[in-house]
Amino acid sequence: MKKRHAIAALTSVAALLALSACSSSSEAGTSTAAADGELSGSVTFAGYGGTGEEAARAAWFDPFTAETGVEVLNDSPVTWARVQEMVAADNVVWDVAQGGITQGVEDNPDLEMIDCDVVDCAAFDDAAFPIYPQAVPLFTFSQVVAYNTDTFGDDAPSGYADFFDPSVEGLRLMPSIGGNAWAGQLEAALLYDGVAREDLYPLDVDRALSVIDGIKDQMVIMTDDGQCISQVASGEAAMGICYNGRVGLAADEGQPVAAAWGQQTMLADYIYIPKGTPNLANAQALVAYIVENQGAIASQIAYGPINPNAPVDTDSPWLSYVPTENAEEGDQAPIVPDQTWWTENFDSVVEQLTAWAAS
Amino acid sequence: MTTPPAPRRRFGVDFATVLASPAVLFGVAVFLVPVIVILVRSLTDPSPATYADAVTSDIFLRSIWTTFRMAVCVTAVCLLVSYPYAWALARGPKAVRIVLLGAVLLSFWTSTLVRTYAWQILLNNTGVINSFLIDSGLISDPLPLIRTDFAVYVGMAHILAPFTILTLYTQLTSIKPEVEQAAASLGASPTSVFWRITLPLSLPGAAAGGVLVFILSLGFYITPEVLGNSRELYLGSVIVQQIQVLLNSGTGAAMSIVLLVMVVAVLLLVGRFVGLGRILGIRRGDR
Repeated sequence: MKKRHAIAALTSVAALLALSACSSSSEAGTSTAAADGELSGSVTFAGYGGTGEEAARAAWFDPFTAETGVEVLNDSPVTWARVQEMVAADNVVWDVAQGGITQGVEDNPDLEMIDCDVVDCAAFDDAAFPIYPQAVPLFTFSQVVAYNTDTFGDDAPSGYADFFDPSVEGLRLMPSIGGNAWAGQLEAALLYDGVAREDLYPLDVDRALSVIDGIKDQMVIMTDDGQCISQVASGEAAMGICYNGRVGLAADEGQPVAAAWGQQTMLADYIYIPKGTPNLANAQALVAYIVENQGAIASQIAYGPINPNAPVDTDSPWLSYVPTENAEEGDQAPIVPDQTWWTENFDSVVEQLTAWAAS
Repeated sequence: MTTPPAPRRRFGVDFATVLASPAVLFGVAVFLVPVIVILVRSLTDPSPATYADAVTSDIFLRSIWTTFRMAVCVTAVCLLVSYPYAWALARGPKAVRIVLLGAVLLSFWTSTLVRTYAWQILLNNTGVINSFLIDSGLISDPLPLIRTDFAVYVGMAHILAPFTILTLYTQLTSIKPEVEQAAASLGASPTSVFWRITLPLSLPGAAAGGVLVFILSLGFYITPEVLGNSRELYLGSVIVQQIQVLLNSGTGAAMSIVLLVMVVAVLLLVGRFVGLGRILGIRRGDR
């Protein structure tokens, strides 16, 4: 029996050793800017992963590392809830976080101020999306009416006019409610119903939903917006409100999809710095680098820069799918959801849409 | 069966306790502590009024109904499908048993997400089943398979059936053949042996598997969301929405505690009838 105990004890020791080997030795990462402004160490960028992350790496992260020696690490998916958790727990592991603006970005206690001595804040003076004291525009993207070219043949839908028309047959995909609370689609529904552009806000959500009621039986709310383009490409859905970048990628692969650009919802992602990051200097430097080189993203994916002074490579194969290159005029001009109204009403719209969807 | 040797005691501590203590500590650290944190948060973020928010939320109440209805149906489907399967697994010829066991284990070991999307590929309007039926000229319009309760029940039952199959199988193999032989030798027909001996003796396995499936399905939300209709709201999705979209961690925590209380209530209720020990696999004394 003694021998058995010895074996058991040895096994436990071996197991413990194996376990301790599993815990990574992540000592790297904390860096402080030396007095002369030299940067070192790393900076962690939290985004959405996938093709967007690959594009950002090629456009910004790798060149930034080459220039400064600071390694850029990635984490995904980014959520504002997790930023809040990190700050509350005083354990901030994201130095720069990407996202839309659904929270305060003027004097939010969970965010650092953007250092305009490092970042070229003035670059956004004439931009379509403003810079905030705690958030910097990253790129524009848009939601478009994507459709299956085999399903429609020569009779291609023109945009929301067909999307909201119940007599046009076929399944439609609406974005997940939790994503953007249909910001842009509600506006489009009101325009479809005859509301003038200048009278859109404050949004009459009930009226917008009464328009969407007409296609409720021909409509599915996606759980994962990433499924949009594959469902449209397979013909499972005839039309969907998909992200422009995904439409570009799928069309490029030869799938039977195209985008109707009329009334595209023009959106911007921002970057911000969670309060208390140990790599503040690196974070500010990365933000500054991205602002200066914002145009580089359009060479990697169908996103457009917001900094008007950041040049875009006109040979980029993605340019035909970049939102700003496809902006139409008049009635069909892009819809830019009103940030102020949406920040104030986001929660109540989410609840209203959820209740409507379940009824 | 050999009787295990009585635990040896040294320094007043039994060796099994020492061996188990890391597991206990681990359980406390990764399960009990987070549950307590959630409980505290539901009461303090910002106040116990989070419970009022939770139970007055129309969406939350509807999701409880939808989720419980789904869980009951999935449990019923699982039990119906699993019983013959487990019976064949326990009593069938060896070749059949190997194939059946291999099938259930392979399915068990495959990721839930993969199995969910596999069902989507099968059930879509442009999926395998509908394409086959349309191409072969049997139907002209796709059958409404996907985005229905039917799809949810089939998909969920497929994912959770291994739990009922394996618990029923264990229970069926633990029935001593002598008992059935004795009944047969006293003149019982095979049918009445099954109804009066085998089935009653296997019921604890059905109860254990059923409770497992029921509780697991209460917390599922990806599968029902992917296969079901977007009008049906499930508890999991509603809690996720509170925490990740509306950023009301306190209300989300309160909803989770309500769910936890309901799960414990179901466990206790079923425990009154079949014994908690059986469900948890603890048997007192020699059975």
